[in-house]
Amino acid sequence: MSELPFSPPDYTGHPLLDVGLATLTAFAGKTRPTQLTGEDLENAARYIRENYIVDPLKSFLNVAFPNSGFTNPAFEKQPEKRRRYAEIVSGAFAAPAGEERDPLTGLPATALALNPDGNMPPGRTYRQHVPLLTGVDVINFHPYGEAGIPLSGISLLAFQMLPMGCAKVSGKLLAVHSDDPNLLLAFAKTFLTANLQGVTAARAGGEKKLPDTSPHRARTVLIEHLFEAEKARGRQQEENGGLPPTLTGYYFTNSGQGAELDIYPLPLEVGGFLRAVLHNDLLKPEWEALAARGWQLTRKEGETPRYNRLFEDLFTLPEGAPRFIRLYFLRKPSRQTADKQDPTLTYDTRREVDLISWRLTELFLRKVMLMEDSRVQSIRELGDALAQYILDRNDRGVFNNFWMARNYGELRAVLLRASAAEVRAGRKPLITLDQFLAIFEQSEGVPNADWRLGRDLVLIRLLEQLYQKGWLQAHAGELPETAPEEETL
Amino acid sequence: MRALKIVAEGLTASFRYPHFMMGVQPTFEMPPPATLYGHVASALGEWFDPQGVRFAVRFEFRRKQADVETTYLLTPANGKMPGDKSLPKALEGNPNPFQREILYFPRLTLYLNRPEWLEAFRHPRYAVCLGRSQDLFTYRRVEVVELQPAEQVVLEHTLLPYEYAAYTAAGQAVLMPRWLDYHRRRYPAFERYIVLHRRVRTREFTRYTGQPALEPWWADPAEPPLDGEYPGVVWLSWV
Repeated sequence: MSELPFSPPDYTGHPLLDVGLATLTAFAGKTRPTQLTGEDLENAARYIRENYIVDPLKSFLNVAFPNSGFTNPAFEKQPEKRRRYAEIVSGAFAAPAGEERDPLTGLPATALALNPDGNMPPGRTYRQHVPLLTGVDVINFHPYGEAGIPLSGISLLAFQMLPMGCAKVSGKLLAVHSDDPNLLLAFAKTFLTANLQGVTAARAGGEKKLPDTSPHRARTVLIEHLFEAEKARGRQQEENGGLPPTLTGYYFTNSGQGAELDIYPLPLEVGGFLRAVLHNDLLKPEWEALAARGWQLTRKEGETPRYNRLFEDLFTLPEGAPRFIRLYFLRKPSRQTADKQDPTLTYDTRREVDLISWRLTELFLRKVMLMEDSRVQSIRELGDALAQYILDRNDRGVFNNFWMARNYGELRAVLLRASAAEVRAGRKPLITLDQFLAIFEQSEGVPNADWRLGRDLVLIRLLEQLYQKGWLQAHAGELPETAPEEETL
Repeated sequence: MRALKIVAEGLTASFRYPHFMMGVQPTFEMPPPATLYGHVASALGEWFDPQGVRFAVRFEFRRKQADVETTYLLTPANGKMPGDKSLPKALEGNPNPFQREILYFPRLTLYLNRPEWLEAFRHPRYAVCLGRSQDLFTYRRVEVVELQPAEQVVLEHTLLPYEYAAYTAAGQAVLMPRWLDYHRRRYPAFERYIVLHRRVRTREFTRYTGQPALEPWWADPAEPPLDGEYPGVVWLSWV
């Protein structure tokens, strides 16, 4: 078989269908669903027929297709029915089309009844065919009380391949969707490869269960693999402009015990920031150093951390940008966690000053916070001016007071004091009124941005400068301890 | 240009993803165009031909939380009603707990290029709600405004065409139901949009060679300026 009676659909925007289409594409070794041939679909269908009805995939598929012909316990003693079900749902793409249309692709829905007994309405799919739909006969959420959704054979096949293109994480599936077809395919391919290897390993070891794709939590897995996928992109692609990568994780189970779904959207701003970091030879090692300190603390040697806090907190952006900056770029320890293994509890600005990077922070301000250039420049200039003032006068008081300021008044006082001293010495003031307003009074439409954000940003530049010039190392013992992360405004 | 502007507020709203029906019903953070079509039709009292009708939307809420909601999953049934055997039983259902996400204290600003519909919104035909039938809304303002062409505008809490992703580099790309064709058994059309909550200034849009031009912007001078520029009105359509 090579000729199809229809043109294979391109990506649709429906996350689970698109991941299924990407998995079919990866399975065929192609780059786009539109390139799929009848032979490619038949190969995928054969894999389903041969592997979905036996362990480890049979037990694994309970998470995606409970009570389907693949998993139905009633079919244990009726293997013929199980095989028949696999043949129907995998081969529907080659079956005659019915009158209804598939709302996801616009193709005609299949005319097949999608169960071995043939007593279901033709082409209608339910929870056992597509994760998170309602069951057979349930009329809620469907127009005119007609239960189920009509699907074309290729959509049905794509949904059946979906679990193979997901990461298996703690008993649930992680499907990663992106509007960037290369990224979408990269995730599906990575997870497909891992799952195919997992099937082989489980069989070789006599295991009934498919091993987890990763020991890490879903959001951490998503970011880890984003980095891997981005490595494969050429610098030229990065510089071509166009869409920043959209990325959304759908972490779900369709289990009969309780369907669940968590959606993890990575905003465009964050995708653009990460892409820029990973394609910059200067910034990449700085980011990787932060990432290395983001892993969950382990209780004993050899234990595998479950999450990377830095990666997980990327999903709090851009709303959580002030806190993110304080924790990761300024290295202030967190005090808002009950998790004793949270690595941010151990952060320490003085000990980790080598991790502070204005360059990385500046990119974050531009890409994630969309900060205006003039404000970024004002922050950098104040940081530089303060650093020079402290170096020239060896003024630990100004440094300590700026670092430890507990309220806006204290902050203003220390800047006025230093500025006045400069003027008395016949030099220009450290900061102008416009700069002061730009740094401490403006925000980017991000909630919770207040004077502390401006102070933290100036501190990042100041600390970096003082470290580079050796002043911090020379005064390490005399400097006050880092205050914990401040959350209240 | 003259446009109809409707400002409405409510206590709750929830716009479930149509593709996730079981166990959990996450909400979009912006009313999908298909929902807005239903809302407008509800005020008019009839389905209207969407051809040529354009809309723009701003939508804010104070907080998003999940709540447990009981849904009765209904299936066709045979036999007789218990307690009264003379009545046939048509449906039966069992209670199912669902985790439903709800947006609290929502506020909608809707623009329509149909100023002639002013009276319909002053006297809406059906109860004013947005999302579920219990998500009742109140029209705070219904008026005709004069939008002005603008070189630059500020955008926030709005729904944008998908192409804007390449310009804003902000927000989230989301597939939403654009319109249900009631003449074809509610056949759905889906489209990708950018849901933008944060503030972006069009003067800071990213540009690259070969980028297609966007439609000229309209500004609403009846709104307070933000960062020195008026909030923009970006038109969308249902068809």
